[in-house]
Amino acid sequence: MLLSRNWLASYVDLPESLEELDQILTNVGLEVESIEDRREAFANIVVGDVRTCEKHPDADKLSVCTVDDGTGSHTVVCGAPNVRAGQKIVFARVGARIETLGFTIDRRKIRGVESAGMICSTAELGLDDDHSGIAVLDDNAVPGTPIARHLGLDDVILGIGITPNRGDALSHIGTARDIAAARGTELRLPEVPALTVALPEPFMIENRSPSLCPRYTGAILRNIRVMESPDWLRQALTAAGIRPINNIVDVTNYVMMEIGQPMHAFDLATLQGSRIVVRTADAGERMTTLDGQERELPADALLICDERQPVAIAGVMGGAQSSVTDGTTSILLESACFDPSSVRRTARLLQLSTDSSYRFERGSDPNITAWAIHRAAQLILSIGHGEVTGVYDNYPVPIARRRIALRPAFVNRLLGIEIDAGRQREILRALQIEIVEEDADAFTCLVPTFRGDLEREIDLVEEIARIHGYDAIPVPTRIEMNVGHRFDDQEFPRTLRRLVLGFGFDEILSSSLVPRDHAGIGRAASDVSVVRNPVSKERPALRTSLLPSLLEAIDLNCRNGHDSLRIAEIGHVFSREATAASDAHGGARVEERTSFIERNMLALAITGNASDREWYSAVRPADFFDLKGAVEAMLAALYIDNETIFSYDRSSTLSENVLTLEVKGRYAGQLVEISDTILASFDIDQPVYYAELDIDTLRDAVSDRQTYVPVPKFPSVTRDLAIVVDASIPAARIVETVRNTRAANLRNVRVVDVFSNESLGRNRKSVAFTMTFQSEERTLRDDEINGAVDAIVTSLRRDFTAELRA
Amino acid sequence: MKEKIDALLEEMRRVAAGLESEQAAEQFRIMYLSRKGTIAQLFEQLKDVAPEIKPRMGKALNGLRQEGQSLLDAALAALVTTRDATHDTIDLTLPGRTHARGHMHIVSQTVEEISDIFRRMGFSVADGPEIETEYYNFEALNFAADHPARDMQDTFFITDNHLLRTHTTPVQVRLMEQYRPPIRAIFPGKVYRNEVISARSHVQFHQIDGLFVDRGVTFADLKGTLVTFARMYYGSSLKYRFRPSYFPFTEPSAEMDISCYLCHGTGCRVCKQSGWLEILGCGMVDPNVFSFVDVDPEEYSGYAFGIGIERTAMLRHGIDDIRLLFENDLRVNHQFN
Repeated sequence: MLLSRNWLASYVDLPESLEELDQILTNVGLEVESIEDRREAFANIVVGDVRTCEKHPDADKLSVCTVDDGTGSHTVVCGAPNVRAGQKIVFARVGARIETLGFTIDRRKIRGVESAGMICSTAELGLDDDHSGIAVLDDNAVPGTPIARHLGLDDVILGIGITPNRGDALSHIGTARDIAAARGTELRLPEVPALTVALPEPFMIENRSPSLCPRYTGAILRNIRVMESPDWLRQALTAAGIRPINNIVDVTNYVMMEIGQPMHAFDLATLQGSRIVVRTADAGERMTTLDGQERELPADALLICDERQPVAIAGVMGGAQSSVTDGTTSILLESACFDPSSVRRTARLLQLSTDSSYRFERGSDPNITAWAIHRAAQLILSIGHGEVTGVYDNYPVPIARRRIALRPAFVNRLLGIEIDAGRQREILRALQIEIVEEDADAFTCLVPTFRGDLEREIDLVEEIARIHGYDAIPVPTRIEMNVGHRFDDQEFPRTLRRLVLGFGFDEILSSSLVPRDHAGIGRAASDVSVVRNPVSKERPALRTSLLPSLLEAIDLNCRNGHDSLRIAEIGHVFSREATAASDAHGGARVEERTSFIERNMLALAITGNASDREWYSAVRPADFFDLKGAVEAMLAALYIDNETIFSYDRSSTLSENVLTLEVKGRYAGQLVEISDTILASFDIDQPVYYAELDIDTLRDAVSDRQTYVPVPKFPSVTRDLAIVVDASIPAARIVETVRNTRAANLRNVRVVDVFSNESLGRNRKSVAFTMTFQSEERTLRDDEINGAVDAIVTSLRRDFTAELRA
Repeated sequence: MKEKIDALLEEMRRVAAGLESEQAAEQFRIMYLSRKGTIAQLFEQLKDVAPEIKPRMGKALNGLRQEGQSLLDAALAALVTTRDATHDTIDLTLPGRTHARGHMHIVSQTVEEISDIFRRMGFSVADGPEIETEYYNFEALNFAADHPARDMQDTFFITDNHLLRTHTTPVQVRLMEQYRPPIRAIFPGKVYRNEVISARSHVQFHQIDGLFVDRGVTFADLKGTLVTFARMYYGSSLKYRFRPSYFPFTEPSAEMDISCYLCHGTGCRVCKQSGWLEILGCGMVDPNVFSFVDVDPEEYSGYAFGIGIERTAMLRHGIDDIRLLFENDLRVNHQFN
């Protein structure tokens, strides 16, 4: 909201300094978002008096003038045809900046005569387009007066951010009220005599929706003249950011910006019958609004109608047909109070927000409508002629001030400060909140009806706090700890983040909303949750996996020439379970039964080279085992590597090569060599190895405490075996078989070499592994270990027809 | 015997002077100093010498053995010195074998840094779902239906009842349902707004909300905690102000500004010439919120606050386009750690 400082000053004394005004407004909760000081726009431009004016000795079209600017005489060369001695003119002193011309006035010689200043036109000041000559001011203008002050342009425009609860502050008087309360000064309201019409002309307000329209006040004015508004009115509206239209519309807007009451003027001649009907819309009703658009009116929208048809959407916008035009001679002025929710619903459905709907949505004062209509009539009569022939007020249930009990002790208890009862009383009074009763504990307050936001005791606590000043509330020097419920849901994800960063993965963060087809990768379409009303239509779906996010990042970075990547993301994934049960009548009620599953996941992706070309190493393309190694190292760091099982997942649609990870018997994620088909859909043409792990499952598996196991006292012995088996036998099965022999004192089995070549035979491979034996009781003898190895060899021969390699 | 000892000393000195390798030194040790070496043999012969000179000879032999050991030690030390002197030089200017280092995302860094400050002030940390219900996101936080306050939150709806949370504040309701006061916790997380993506706004961003509910919690406590946070995060010399604001779930409500740390309050582009930067919203928990979770506002009071992470990070690091944070161009991500 834009406010004019000059306009504000007519209701309340303002501090001289803008900083102080800014501080007062901000401290009471009317945040100053911008300050435009227009007084500086015409610095060094003042009223001048042309004392003498003679022809330039060397130029026919130029004059040489002496100008008195209140401080002394200056010689000025002027090219305007209309300059004359004795005129009061706009004089730009040396040093003045002429914005429209883009230069600063300097002393300079013009055809041999030194000129110290410039006489300006209104166009040069940027006020209009009149380039015909210099501006000639009223004779009574005083030389030396800053031109902005002389023309009433010496204003400051304040941009105020009004929070949604403060509908009452959406006007100059509303804001002035808070300033007066904060400064402890008086609020001056304009004198507005109530209109009395001895014999009002017959006209009726028929209010069929008193719940949506608590009050409707109207006035009929006849013999008015529609024309351009006088300068003061145009300037006032322009300062408040409202475009002047004509004197009638301008007055309604002026009153709105003055007191906050939105108003409307109908051309009375266009209204059918002598009656206004306030009712809700019927299905399918249409109307063309002021902006020229024909609109279908939402069912139950509140309408203002004449005897035949709607003429305005209540509180939102008037109709085109009944609007005031140059030819209008009689009007019906409307000043009403509409239900905030109803206006808001209608405005939202119509996607139409106006100054009027904005104010009604925030609550208007039912007890100000009559004042506003008197004020508007007063202004119209003063500038546009005419007479008031009727005032009508439909106010079925007058709204009284709300009664709220306030305990001064409660204020202090909640704020942590001592504000004595006297000061609290003073603040309430300044806010026009009347204390009607007072006992030992509480004030009984009556709250003015313009403060619809004040409903409860706590609301009054805030009023006292903000007027007393938040700054006055002390900052304690000690802070409380709480040893009650202690938990840290972020600790484990943070541990994982730190681990994968340590393994060289860059953390990324992506949008949870992805294109619909991305969300569906590897999932049934019915699993995908889609937002109904996305502003960006391309990404309406919630990701069911982090995969599309990482693939998008890989694609982007590859295109930037950065194609060796290790990236990780931690984020939620979403899927839905629509148990499409039908109800008793056989209709599908999918919506009600939809439930959403949300998991926190860690995703890792590796692509490109695992090692670059360096003086100590050759380029090595990354492969699946870089990924698996990282996952294994992470599991080891969490001390759950002994609780995990990797197994092939042959049913996945992500690829042929998918490994499922189970931790303590629960599914904990998968490791995937992403298929070329999926990669192609992301324009990626290099292999990507991808793992996605369920953070909560991992966390559940981790025990928070490790217990000490004595360090072995006796030496360990290692033995190597190399066997030749069918190429299709997974290494993990061989290791498992070795373990399952339960050979005495076998501690560890580790694959150390795998290869195949012609000499081994077709579809055969050699697998070498090393076994570690160790006893807690003694040093093992060779024959004991030999026996164990023999048993292992026997098992391998039996299970895999393995041959021992020499 | 005496002659033998003298001769041997002579010999050892001569041999030791010529020791040029560690193998030669070892041979020296074996020949003279080992259990079967020459000196040991002489000790063997000691039993055959006359008793009157035996003590003298024994002493001389001990001296010989000590001298032999000294000669060996000196020779070995000389060898090490020689080895150092003749060691192959390596090109130390070659780059070291690298270890890949991952970069934490700037949003995570900011969340962690801010969370850690509140952890130190005794706050627990809670998570909550990103798909919320109308109840938790709005109703239980005292957002009246059809109230303009909802305009502050452009909401993504999934069903009539399910939406993407527009703030992390719903977690406070979930916490108060789960625990009785005292509750002192922060809840960082991702939130969503249904807006056109631009340099200044995105459909997602992150917040940290906080809540403290106990007996006798005051607005002054709120100021104490948040001023402490701001000093720990932004520096101890900052100026601050609390100004009235509006949130449906707090009353009295406030926004906290700190003096702009770029221009130190004199006014610049970042603080829009005001000298102040808004860093968070806060207030005392509204009694209506307590009524939804069955906490008696006469017995308990509390404060709540919320901090926007992206805004904080962008101001701090001079990032002028929020889209840069979620595009994952590593040329950007690598600039922060």
